[in-house]
Amino acid sequence: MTHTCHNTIRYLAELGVGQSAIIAQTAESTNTGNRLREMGFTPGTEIRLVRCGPGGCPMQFSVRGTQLLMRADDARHVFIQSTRAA
Amino acid sequence: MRIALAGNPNSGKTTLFNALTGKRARIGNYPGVTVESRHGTSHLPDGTPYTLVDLPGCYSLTAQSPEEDVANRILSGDLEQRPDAIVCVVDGTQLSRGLYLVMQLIALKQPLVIALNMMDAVRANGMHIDIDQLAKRLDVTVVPICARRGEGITELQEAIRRAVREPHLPWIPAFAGMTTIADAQKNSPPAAHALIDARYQFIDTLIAHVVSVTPRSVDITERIDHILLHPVGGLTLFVFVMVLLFQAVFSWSEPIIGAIETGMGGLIDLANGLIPPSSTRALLVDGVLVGVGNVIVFLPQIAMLFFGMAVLEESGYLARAAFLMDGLMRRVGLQGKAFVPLLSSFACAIPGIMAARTIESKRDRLVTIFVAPFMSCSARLPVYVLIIAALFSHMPPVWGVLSVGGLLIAAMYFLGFFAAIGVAWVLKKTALRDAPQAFILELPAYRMPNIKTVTRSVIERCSIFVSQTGRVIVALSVVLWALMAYPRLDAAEVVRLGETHASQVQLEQSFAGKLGHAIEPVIQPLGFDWRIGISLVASFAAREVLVSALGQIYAVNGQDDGSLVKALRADIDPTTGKSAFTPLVGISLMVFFVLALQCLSTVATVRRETGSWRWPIAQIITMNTLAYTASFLVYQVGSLIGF
Repeated sequence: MTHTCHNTIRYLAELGVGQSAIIAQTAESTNTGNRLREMGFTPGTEIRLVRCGPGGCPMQFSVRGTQLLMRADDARHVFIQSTRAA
Repeated sequence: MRIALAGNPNSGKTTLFNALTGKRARIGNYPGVTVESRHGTSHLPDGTPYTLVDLPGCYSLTAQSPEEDVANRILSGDLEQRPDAIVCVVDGTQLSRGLYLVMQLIALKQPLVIALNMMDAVRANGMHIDIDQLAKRLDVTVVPICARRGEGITELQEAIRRAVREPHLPWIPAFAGMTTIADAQKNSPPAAHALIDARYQFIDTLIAHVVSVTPRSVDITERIDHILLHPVGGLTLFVFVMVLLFQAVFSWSEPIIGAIETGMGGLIDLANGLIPPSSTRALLVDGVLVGVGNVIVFLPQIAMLFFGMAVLEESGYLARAAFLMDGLMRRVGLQGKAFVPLLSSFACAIPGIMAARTIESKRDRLVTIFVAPFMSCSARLPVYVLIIAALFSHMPPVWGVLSVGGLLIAAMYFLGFFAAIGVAWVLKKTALRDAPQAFILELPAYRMPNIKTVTRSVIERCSIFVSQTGRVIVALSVVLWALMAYPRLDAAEVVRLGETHASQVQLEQSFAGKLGHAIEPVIQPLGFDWRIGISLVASFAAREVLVSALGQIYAVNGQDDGSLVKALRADIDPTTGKSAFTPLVGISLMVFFVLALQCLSTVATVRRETGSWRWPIAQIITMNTLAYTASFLVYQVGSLIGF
């Protein structure tokens, strides 16, 4: 997937505060990737980084009307398409 | 008849469980896992009783966490009798994730009822859900409820009755012939993802058909979060909330504890007055009754902490506290939700360890439980105070303002805290290396805490502590009492020696006394003699017992700390002619108390919370080895450099 659309696929953790993006993929063979997929991180779903905790961790994402906390390490299991301003 | 209650975390499942079952629930632990089981009794509208089994809150049934695994095994009849029907609680404001769990339950081919909860919030959010359409498209009965207000409970009971009496298995053509996600994950991860996506696509289409939203301009939860999660304002408020919680556990429980102690003392006097002196009376009063006192004396702190925890959790603030603290706790190898359990462990490790149950990740929960007893609890304070009063109170203040005693106490608190961080780090690199789990936490919408749920949580925790942990504490207390009471002095000897001296001789020649003597060679390198040895043995009942045990050995009237302080100062080692209790011995003893696990009640609580003896035993070995080593180093190095 990365070699066909290299420029537009990014890590979720690269999203800026207040920015939204579309989920492209979750890691396939990791426990975290599976868990997030089952929590509704399916390709095509919109995700927004609402805020970061004191010192930048954890990150608060808004997905499918739910607010979820995640650390940057775990957010690496999610890949996003192009970003757009919130 | 058995009905299983399933649902996402924060879906209001516990509130519904309480609403359906009334007052009582049987709470236990599933063997081998740290997941709690809850069973309650309810009645169908036709009067038939049934057992309601509360499944652990989960997002899926693919067994990626211990909770999901337990839920899966209950539903498949692997862990206990297979349920006759399933009720799935779905938060109406979080439809897609709730329906995802419903999809998996449908695949189990068991009678199913959906309890669509939080209908008050649905209406307040300007949402409209077409219940009939939802039920029709899912081929499942859907009952709109509001568990907090008790709305829809009668209708839900009737729906359960129909599901059991006239079983109807839901069938969605789109899912016919599909394998389960768990099977697909084993065989082919891409196929599993395709299955998950297909279900969410189905759900998205479904929601588009049944839900209409009139957008409201303000999201109240987001507005509150803007303040409560603010890097400055939010943290300030958090500190205030935590100070309040700690005050409640540490100070406000104090008068109630005092009252319990007075009451138990009165009860003991009464029993001693009623029953003629005999070894049976001694067993009943000094062994069992004192043991029971050792149990209920913890209740005020447990009740205070769980009242606070329940309010914080119910309102949604506990997850915010985790958000604010996670960055800090992550740096020390723990996670945000470990903060409150560790903070309350400074008052007492027992409620702290019990509070660790709010941590979803098994590994983080175990690490938190393991290191919680390192926090200097209130029972250590009398020990520090005695040692400081005896050995350090006459020293001039450092730089003219800071008292040596105050500095030492602060140093002891820091020592415990840093030991906890170190042990947590080592644990994550060794014993718990293989179980890393993502930190994914939902921030639920703010809600007014439900007073019934809060009080019930307090009562539940207290009664579990009394009935399950308490048994172990009483048993261990009786054993320890017997060690100190036998072999007994005969009555003539007691009269001859007088009461104070008799109690000294009794302790010295008891099994515990002999043990104290026997371990003298082992503890000598720490600077401890046999008298401290005996007191150490005795202090395994509770740390503060050290003070009264020393009083007994030095044959001073136990109630008066001043005379014990004088006795300790006046104690001269006959071989060296110097004071036996040097400041170095005092520091060594304090360090030992910071690091050692010598609290039977903590051991019993860890056993209850982890479901096996493995963890408490590992904890005893680790902490006491660490305590021994640290005191050894303090005393030996201190002696070498001339203290």
